[in-house]
Amino acid sequence: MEKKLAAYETMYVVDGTLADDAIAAIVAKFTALVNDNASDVVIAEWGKRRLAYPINYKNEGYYVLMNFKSEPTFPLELERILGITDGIIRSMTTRFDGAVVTPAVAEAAPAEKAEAQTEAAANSETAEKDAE
Amino acid sequence: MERNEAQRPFRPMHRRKKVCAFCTENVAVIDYKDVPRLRKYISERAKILPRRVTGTCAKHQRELTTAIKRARQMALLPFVSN
Repeated sequence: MEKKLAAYETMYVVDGTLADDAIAAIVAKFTALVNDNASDVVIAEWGKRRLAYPINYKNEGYYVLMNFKSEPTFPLELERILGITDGIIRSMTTRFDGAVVTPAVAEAAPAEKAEAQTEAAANSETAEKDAE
Repeated sequence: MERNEAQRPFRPMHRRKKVCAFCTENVAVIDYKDVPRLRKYISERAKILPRRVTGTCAKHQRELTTAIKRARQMALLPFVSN
């Protein structure tokens, strides 16, 4: 803690059509990179998810989320390496001030989605009533 | 509704005021990863719903648009659908 550290969150998506061991190799590479250069590392693998729209004619991506604290120069370097690595189809780094949320989003999604739909239905009903 | 109108004949049509969901739930950060929540604020065509439809306050609408746009970049939400 000799210098001021900031909290960041990087999410990247690996091409889902790659073989499982190829994906694992890419994930291992970045896990090692972050562990070497940052502290308080929390890595969550969401696993394979359907993309909301096709990217390079691919419909599946392997999502990985990394929370870490580092000096401000490291995210730039990380983004640069993510950009030139084959098999990475998307990546994004954001400042992360909140507490680390256990990202069980991928698993919990179906249940939450159902809940959201019923809520949305209820909302639209009230909206209709308001419109009357 | 009809009962109320009978009691107060000169009142114009009453609209219940919508309250910002993020204010009532005390959401600290609108997270781009919270896809189920964000889905409620986009239309069938995947456009961002205006404040007048959802009742979101100005501050949270600003945060919401950034969150939705980030989610779109990461292919968590669509830019267009159908």
